[in-house]
Amino acid sequence: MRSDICGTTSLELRNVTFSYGDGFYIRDIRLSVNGGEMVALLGPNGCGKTTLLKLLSGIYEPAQGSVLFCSTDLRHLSRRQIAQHIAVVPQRFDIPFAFRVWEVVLLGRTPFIHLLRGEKQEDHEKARLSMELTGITELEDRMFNELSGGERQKTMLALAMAQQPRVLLLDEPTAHLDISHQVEILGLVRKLNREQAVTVVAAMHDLNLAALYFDRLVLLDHGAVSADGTATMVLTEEAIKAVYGASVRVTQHPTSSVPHIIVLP
Amino acid sequence: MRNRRHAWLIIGVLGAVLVGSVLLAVALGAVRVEPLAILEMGLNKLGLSQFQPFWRPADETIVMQIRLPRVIGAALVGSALGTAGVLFQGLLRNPMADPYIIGTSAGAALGAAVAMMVPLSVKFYGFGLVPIVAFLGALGAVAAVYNLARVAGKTPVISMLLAGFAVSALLMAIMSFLIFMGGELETRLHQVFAFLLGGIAVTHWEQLAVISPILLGAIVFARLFAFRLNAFALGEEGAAYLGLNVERDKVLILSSGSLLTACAVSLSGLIGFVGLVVPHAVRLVLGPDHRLLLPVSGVVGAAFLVLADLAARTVLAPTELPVGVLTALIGAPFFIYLLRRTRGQYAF
Repeated sequence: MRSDICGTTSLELRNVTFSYGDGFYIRDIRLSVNGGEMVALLGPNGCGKTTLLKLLSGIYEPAQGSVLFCSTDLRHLSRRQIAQHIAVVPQRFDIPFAFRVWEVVLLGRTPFIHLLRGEKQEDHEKARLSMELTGITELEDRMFNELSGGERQKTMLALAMAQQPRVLLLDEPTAHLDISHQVEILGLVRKLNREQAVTVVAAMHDLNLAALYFDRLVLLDHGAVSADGTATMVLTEEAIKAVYGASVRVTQHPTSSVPHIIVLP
Repeated sequence: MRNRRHAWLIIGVLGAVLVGSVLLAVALGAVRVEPLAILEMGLNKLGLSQFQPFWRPADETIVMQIRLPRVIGAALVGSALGTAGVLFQGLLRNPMADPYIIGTSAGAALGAAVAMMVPLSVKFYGFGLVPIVAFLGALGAVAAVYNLARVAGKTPVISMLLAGFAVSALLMAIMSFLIFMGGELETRLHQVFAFLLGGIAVTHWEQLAVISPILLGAIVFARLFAFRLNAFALGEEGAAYLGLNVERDKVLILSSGSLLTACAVSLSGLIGFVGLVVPHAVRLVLGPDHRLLLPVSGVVGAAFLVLADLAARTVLAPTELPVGVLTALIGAPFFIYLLRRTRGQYAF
């Protein structure tokens, strides 16, 4: 287990504004995520979840304000330096080549591999360790393209963990998965968060799963934070009505002390 | 490629196949020369030995002045096209990509056609005007495509493919117009057609002395990017998440691939199919890992083109076929066989 060497705050958005052109997508967001936290970004389609993740990974640069990792502005870090600390599992990934799982996971070592010296024994060991962590060791020689959705998602998590990141950014990690795989993937992410001290920020669509697996929920509405806190604080009937425009009833989860949302058609 | 010894074994075996192909290609022709004689001649020339010649002086002239430069030229062209094919297919993530896909062929063809119409006799290290202008045309076209596809500091590969298509069409139209309007239509058509089909046009050692440092340098340079090409398989965004400076690496990979293609064009015109089929064939057998795919495709491309060129000059001797006809005649059925063998489950 690694301790967070940069104090308590891991990621911070300082008055970040960002737009793609005409309309503003992210408006003056202030958000700070502590090391070791597990945060879900919620909100309807187009509210800015994915954009926020791209700002946090430094792929997008804020128009105003700044994104800080361990108190350093991402603008002052190279892509390589960022990738040595922040790993991203995007929502969509397709690999046109017939790569094997092992080869895909090893790609997680890219930010550490020197152009001239090539990969080292250490890189192989870390990729192997990452496959053990995510429970895909037996898949190593399988073709990535022939895997099921759940196995692919685990492989992408293994790739991300091979970066030995301090922060893991996930864009809808349970999209297109059946219930049992949704539970398996989120259970795995929480295990990585707890045991490997990785800070997790994930965009989520399923409010109930977010309530069950995440310590902190951030509800976004039109590119701004509309609620931030525990599931009980954030998932209220009024807030969901206001942000999603959907009528719901909030009840208690039968076995867990988190709210459970029932859609009223 | 988890077993390095395994990888070296494959490269070693294929290297031996290449040396065997070269010996065979030098030995065969209108005059047959003993492979042993070729080896001894070669070692004598390199100053490594002083074998008593048991061959005729004429044989030595044929081997040293005619066949060997041509065969080595074929090997260099084949390795350049095989390597460039891997670079373009990997970077563009497109199975139809070949070394000519983003304008090199059209640029070279236009350059060659213009050079053919200029009544100017140029000799530069054994090169005439046509290969020199074709070389420049190939590089110029890629530079144009890259800059046309560049918007706000980024050059998405899909824009590059489309710009490449448009620029190629434009350049080919200009070339056709020039040939059509230039007079002596039949002669020009014949010359241009020969250039488009390709043929190993290496007649001087000087040509190899100029081209091989550039070509081999580009191959070694490209090999450095093998692991990064694997990362590019995740797409440009995925590659950026893995810490790559995507735009910079793209320029470097494109430049080395285009330089290799331009070198090949200057030695042989537009030989098709090698740069498309060789990477696919190697990938089907050994998998898509560029750390192995890049060097192996270079060696396989070299051996393939040496043998294709041998066939081109011996099958219908004394008539010499354009080698581009042979590469397609051998390559296409072999490629279909490989596709069928995977029973339609082709993920490239």
